[in-house]
Amino acid sequence: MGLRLDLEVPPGPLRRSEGAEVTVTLVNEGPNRLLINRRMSPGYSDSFPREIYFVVNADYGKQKYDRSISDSSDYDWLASGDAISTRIDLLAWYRIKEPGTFQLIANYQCDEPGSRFPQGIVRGLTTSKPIEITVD
Amino acid sequence: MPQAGNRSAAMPVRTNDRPGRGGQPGSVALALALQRQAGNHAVSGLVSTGSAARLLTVPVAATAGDLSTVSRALDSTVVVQRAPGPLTPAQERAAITFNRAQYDVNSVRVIQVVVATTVDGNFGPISAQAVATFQQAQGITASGQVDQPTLDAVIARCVTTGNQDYGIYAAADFFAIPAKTNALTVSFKSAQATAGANSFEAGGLRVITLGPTAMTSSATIRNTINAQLAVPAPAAAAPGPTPTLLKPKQEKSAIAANRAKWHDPRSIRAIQAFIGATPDGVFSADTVQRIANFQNGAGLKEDGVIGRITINPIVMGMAGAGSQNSAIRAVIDFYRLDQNGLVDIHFDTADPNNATTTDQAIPGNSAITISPNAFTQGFAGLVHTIAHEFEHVRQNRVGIADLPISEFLGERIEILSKGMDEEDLAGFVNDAGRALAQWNLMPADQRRANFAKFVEVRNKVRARLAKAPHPPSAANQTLLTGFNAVVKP
Repeated sequence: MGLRLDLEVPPGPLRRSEGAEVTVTLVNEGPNRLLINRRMSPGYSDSFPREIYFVVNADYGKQKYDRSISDSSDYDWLASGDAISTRIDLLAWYRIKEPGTFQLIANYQCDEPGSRFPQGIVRGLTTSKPIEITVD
Repeated sequence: MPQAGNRSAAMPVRTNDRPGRGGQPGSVALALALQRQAGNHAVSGLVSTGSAARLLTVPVAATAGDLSTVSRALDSTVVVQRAPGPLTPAQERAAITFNRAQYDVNSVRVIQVVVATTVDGNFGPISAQAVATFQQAQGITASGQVDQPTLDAVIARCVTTGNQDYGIYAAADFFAIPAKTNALTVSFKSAQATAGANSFEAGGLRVITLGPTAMTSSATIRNTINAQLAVPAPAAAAPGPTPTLLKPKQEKSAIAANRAKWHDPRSIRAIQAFIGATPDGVFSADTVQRIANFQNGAGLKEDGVIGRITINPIVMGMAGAGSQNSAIRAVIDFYRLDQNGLVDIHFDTADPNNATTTDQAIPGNSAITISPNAFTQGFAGLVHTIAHEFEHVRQNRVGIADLPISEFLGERIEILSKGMDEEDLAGFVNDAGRALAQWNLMPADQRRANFAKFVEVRNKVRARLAKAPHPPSAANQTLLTGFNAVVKP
C-alpha cells in the first residue's frame, strides 16, 4: 500500500466555455511517510515537466506551456493518511474536439526522466480509477 | 493586410504533362509556380493530391520558360478545377474580394478554422466555398461573404469551443475597432460578471477584458469594446521641466535612433509614462532628454537611446510598477517578435506556468499568457520566455503540433539566445535540462531530422558549462553527460 490517486469531476456535462475543473487528490494510504512532488502540475503523457496527466479516449488539442523543472522545494514528505489535491481545468488542458461520453483516467508521476528528483522519491505511476465524463 | 492573389476558373481540361525544368512533369512545375505566385489553396490542394497533371494545361513553350512566361501563361490559358461548393464563379470572386478587404490574415485563419477548411490565412476560392457551405448549414444565405450574420455564427462557434479570444479578434477586425492602438490587450475572462472591464497601466494604456455576456454576437463585442475605449483614462501627472542633458546634435541623433527601433505606439507611450514624459507615442526632444535623465539616474551612458542596456531597467521598472502588459509590449516591439498568428498576449496572474500558448487549432492562430513567474526570472529570463512563446505561435501557424519537438525548438531559442541577453547560469541550466528531456521524448524520425539543431544546442551547452565554475556541480555534470550521450538515431 502506498499512494492512491482520486479523481473527481463536477456533475453534469462538461463545457469548455464554462470551465471544467476536476479535482485530483493524492492520498498516502500506507503506513509510512512518502517522498513526493507536491507541485502536482498538469501536462500530457508526452510533455515535460509535469506531475499529472490524463488519459482520455477522445481526440483533443493541447496547450504549449513553459514551466521550470521542479526544484528541491517542490519535493516533500506526505505523511501516512495525509492527502494533497489540486484542481485542473480539464477542458482547457485537454480540448476535446467533439461532444460525447469518454473514459478519463488521471496519472501522477514524480520521477519523470529529466527531472532532478531526490533519492527515495516514490517511483512510477499512480493511476486513478477510470471515470466517465460527458462533454457537451 | 494585403494578401496574395488566388485563382480559379470554370472547368478542368487536359494537360500534355510534359517534363518541365528540374525534371518535374510540366504540369506539376506549373502548379508549383502557380502556388508560389498565388498562394492558391486550390492549387496546393490539387498538387498535394497529385491530380494537377489532369487539371492544368498550358502551351508547351511555357513549360520550358521562366517564371514570368509561366505567369503569363497562367493568366491567359491555365484552367484550374474550381473549388467545391455552392457558389457560382461570380459569387466566389465577390466573396474573395469582400473577405480580403474586410479581414486581416489572423481573422481569416479564425474563419478558416470555424468553417473547417485549409488554414493558411489566405482567403481564396476554397475558403469562399467553405464559408458558403458553413452558411448553408447555419441557415444563412450562402454568399461566401463573412458578413455580420455569418460572423455572429463564427463567434458562436468560437464560444462553444472555448475560443472566445479568437472571436473577439475577428469582431474587432470586422468593425475596425482601434483596439490595437488604444489597448494593450483585449481578452476574454470567463469569471467576469460584467460584459466589459477596463484596467489601466501607466500612460493610460488599457487592459480590456470581456465577460461571457459580451460574447453573444459581434455587435455585443463591438459595443462592449467601444464602451471600454470610451472610459476616460486616469489623468497623467503633469511632466516636470525638460532636462537638458543632451546637446541638440545628440538629441536629434537619439530621436532618430529611437524612431528607427521602436514602432508600436503602445510601447512608446508606456516608455514615456515610465520616464515621466507626456505619453503621446512619439519620440520627441523632450522624450529623449528624459531617457537621458533616466540613464543618468540608473548609472548608464546618457545617450537618450533605448538600446539593449537601457531597455532592461525600463522593462523591469514598468513591471515592478504594475505595468506588466506594457513591459511585454516593449519586449515584443524591441525584439521585433513576429506577431503573425498572434491574436492576444497578456499578463495573467492565474497562469501557473511561466507562460502558456493556446491555439484555436493547429495550424491556426495562438494566444499567449505570461505569468508572474516569468517576471521573477529577471529581464533576460522574461525576454527568453516571451521569445519561446512566439516560437510556439510560429509553430502553431505552420502546423507543428507535437509537444516534445515544439518545446525543444522553444528551448533552443532560449539556449542559443541570438540577439538577446544571456540568462544567468541557473536559468540556462534549467532551459538546457528541459531541452534535453524534450529531445529524448521526440520520436526517432524527428530527432533524425532535427539533429543539426540538437548539435547546435549541445555545442552551446558545452561552451556555457565550460565557463561555469569548476568543478561543475553534480547536476550540471549529469546534464552534460546526458547531452554527450545523445547520438544521431
